[in-house]
Amino acid sequence: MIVASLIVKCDPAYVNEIVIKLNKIPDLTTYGVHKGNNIIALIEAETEVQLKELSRYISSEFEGVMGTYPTFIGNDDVKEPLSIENNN
Amino acid sequence: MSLSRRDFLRASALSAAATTLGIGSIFSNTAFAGMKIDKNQFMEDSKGVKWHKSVCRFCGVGCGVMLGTKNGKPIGIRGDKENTVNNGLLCVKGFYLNKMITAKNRLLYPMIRKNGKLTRATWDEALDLVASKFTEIKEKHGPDALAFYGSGQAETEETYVANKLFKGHIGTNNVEGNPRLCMASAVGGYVSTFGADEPVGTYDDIDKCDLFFIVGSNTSEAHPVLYDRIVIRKRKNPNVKVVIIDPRKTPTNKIADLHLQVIPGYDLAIINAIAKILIDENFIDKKFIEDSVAFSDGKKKITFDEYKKFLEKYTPEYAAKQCGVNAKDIVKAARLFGETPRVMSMWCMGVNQRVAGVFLNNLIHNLHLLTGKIGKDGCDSFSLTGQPNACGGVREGGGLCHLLPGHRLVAKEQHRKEIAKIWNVPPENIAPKPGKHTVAMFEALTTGDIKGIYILCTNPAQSIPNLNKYLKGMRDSFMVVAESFHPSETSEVADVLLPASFWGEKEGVYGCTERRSQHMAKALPNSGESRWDGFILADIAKRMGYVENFEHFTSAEAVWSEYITCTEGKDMDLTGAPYSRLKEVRGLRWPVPDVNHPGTTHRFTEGDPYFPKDKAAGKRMYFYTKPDGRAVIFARPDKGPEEPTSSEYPIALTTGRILEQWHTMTMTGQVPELVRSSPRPYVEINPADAKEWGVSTRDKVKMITKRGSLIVEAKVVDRPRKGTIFVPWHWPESLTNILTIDAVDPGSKEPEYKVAACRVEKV
Repeated sequence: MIVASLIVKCDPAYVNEIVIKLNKIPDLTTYGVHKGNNIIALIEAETEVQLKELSRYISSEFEGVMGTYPTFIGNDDVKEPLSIENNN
Repeated sequence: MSLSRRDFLRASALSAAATTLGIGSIFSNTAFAGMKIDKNQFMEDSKGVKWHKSVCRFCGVGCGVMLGTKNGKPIGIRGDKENTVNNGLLCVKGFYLNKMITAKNRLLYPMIRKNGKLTRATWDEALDLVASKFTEIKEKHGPDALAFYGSGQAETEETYVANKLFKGHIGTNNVEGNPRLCMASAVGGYVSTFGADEPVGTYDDIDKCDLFFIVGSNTSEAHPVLYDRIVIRKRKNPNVKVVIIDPRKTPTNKIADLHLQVIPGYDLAIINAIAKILIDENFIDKKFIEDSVAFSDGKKKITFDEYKKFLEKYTPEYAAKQCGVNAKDIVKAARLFGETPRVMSMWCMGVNQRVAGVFLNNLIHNLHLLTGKIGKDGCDSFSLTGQPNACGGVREGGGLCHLLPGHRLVAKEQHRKEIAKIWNVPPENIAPKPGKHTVAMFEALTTGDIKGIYILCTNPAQSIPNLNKYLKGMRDSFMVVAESFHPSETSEVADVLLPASFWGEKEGVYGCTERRSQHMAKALPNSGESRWDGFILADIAKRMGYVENFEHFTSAEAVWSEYITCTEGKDMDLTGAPYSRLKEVRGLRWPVPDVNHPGTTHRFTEGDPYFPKDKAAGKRMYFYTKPDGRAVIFARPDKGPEEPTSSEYPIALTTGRILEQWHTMTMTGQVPELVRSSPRPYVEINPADAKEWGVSTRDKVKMITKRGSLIVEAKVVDRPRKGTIFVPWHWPESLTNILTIDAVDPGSKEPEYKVAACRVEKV
C-alpha cells in the first residue's frame, strides 16, 4: 500500500467545489485548505500507478486546479513497525 | 509510543505537506503531535535516516531536494524547504529520484562488444581498450577523427575534465553536448544582444513581476515549480497578467489572460509587430535607449530611425495574417507589455528549437530593451532551461565546440592562452577553429570523418533529429558510452559501455537557469562497479599518456577548484564559490568574485560587482560585455520554418514533453511503476482535423514526413490548433525523431524539432 500526500493548488474561486470533489475520490482524504488555495490531500493507493493516474486526473479534469505537487510517498510493505519518539 | 508503519507514513505524509506550505502541524490533536522535528521542519524517525542536501536531477529549474538514506540505501526524497528556488515544493518527476538510483536497469559493470555482443569486462580491459583505440585513431587520422558528446545533465566537474582532455590534450574541438539541441539558440540570443550568455535577472523577478509574457513554453508541465511561483504571484496580485504565444493550448493556459495561438514557425512577425506598436504608441524608454542601446541589422550598425523603417511592414494585420491570429489580440498583447511596469518574458523550446531560434531570442530581448524593462525588479528577458546543468556545465564550462571554460571562445588567441596556462599545456594544443556542432558531428560519424566518439550521459540514438540518417554512423564508429542505465537506444549500439555513478552516488555542482551554482552531496556508495564520470575520464587521460595534468583530480572538489580559476575576473566569476562555501549554502548566483560576496541578482547594473560605475557615468545599465557598453536591438526579418506545409504534407508536426516523463525516459523509464503508469505514445489531434479525417481517440494513425513514418494512437483534444499535430517524444519504442527535420539555425546550429511538415493517415 502506497501512502502519499499531495498539495492541490487551486484557483481560490473553485476551492470549495474542488474539496467536495476530492472527497468523493475513494482512498483520498483532504486535510483542509491552507493559505487560501492549497488543499492538502492524503492518498492511500495500492500502487504508484494509481497514484500517478490520480494525480493527472485531478490536474487535468478538475476545473480550477492549477497544479498538483507531491510532497511525500511511502510504501508500508516493510514488515516491522517504526517507532516514533514522543516528546510529550 | 509505537505506531504501525502505515500510521507513521500517514503522519510523515501530512507533515511533509504542511512543512512545504509553511504551516504548523495539521494534526496537533492526534497521536502524532510531538514528533521530533529537525531544523528543516521535517519529521525525523529514530532509526537513523540521514537527509542529504542536493539538487533535482531533471529540468533546469534547480529545485533543492533532500535525499534520505539509511544503511547506505536511498529511502526517500523531499523538497528542500530552505532552498529559495522551490521552498520545498517538487514536481512529480523529482519525487521519484530515489527510485531511479536502485532501478533494475542500472549498468553495474563495464561491457565490451565482442563478436557483435556486449559482454562483461573488467575496468582495466575497458579503459585500456578506449585509451588504445583513441590513441590509434588520433595517430592514424588526426585528433579531429575523435569527438566527445556530453550532456546538460553531467556535473560541471565532469564536463570540465572531458573538455580538458579533448580540447587541451587530444587536440580536437569536436566537443559538444546535448544543450546544443535545446539551449544553443538562447545562448546565441544572449551573446549577440547582450555580449554574454545567460539572463540578466533571476527567479526573484518572478515574485515582483506584473506581466508574464510566455512564448513557446508549456511552463506548467515542463517547469512546474516555476509555474507555481507564477501562480502564487498572480493569486496574490489579481492585476498580474499572463500572455501566452504558443501553437498549442497547454495546462499553462489555466492562468492565461490572453493566448495567441500561432501557426507553428511564424511567430517572429508578432514580436516585430509588438515592437512597432510599442514605438508607435510611445511605450518606449527613450533615456534607456539613449544610454544603453545600439541598433543593428545583423551586419552593420543602424540608427533608431532605420530600425523604425524596418518595422514599418510589421503592422498587426500583417503579423496576424502570417501567424493565423487576430490582429486585435496582437495590439492587446503589445499594450499590456507597454502599459505594465514590470514585465518578464519567459520562453523555452518553442523558441529555441527553430531555424530562426536566435532571431526570435533577439526579438524578445528587443521588447525589453525598447521599454527599459530589464535589469530591475520584476523585469527580465528570461530563458527557461531544460536540463539541470546545461547552464552550469556546458554553457559556463565551455562544453560546446566553439567554447572554452568561463565564457571564452576557442577562436580567440588570448582565451586559448589563458586556458592553456591553467591546463598546463602549450597554447598550440588548443585548435583555433571551432569543432563540429552536434548535427555535423553525427553526420561526420556517417561519413567516417569522425571514427571514435565518447558519449557521456545522453542518448543521441533517440534524441538526434532525422534519426534514420544518423543511426548507421553510430553503429559503424568506435563508440564509447558512459551511462548509468542499460539498455538505452545508444548503449545498445556502443562498443564499450562504462558504468557511471548516478545522482546521489557522486558529489558535484549543478548550475541552473538563474546563474545559481549548487553543490550536491555524495550520499550513497556507488552501485556495483560504477565509477564517477570525472574519474573515468581522468583515468582514460592518464592511460593515453597525459598523467601529469590529470593525476591531481582525486576528488570532485579538486576539479571544481581548478575550474573556478578559469572564471576569475570573468562575467561569470565563481571564485567566491569554493566547495567549502557551496556545501553550506543553497547555491550562489554568479558573478560571485570572493567568498564574502552574496552573489548577484541583476547583472550590468548596480549590485553587479563588475558594473563599471566610471564607464556607466550615471547610466542605469552598462553592458560591459559589449565594447561600447550597449545591448543591441536587432532588426531581424520574420522567417518561417525550414519545411513549410505543402499540398503533399499539409499538417505542421510539433514535438514536446509531458509532465511525468523526461527526455528519452532513460531515467523515468527505469522505474517499473512509472513505465506502467505512463500513457502509451500518442499524437494530439485537433477535433476539427479528427472529424475531417474520421479519426477518434485511440484510433491508430500514421504520421508521415519526408524522412519517415510512425504509427501511434490518436488523442483527439482541443489543444493543438487546426492543421497542427503534437507528438510527445519520450518513448523509445516510438522514435519521434524519425520524423523530425535536421535543419539547424545558421547561428546556433540548433535543430528545428518544433516544426516539420507531415500528413496523417488513419490506419
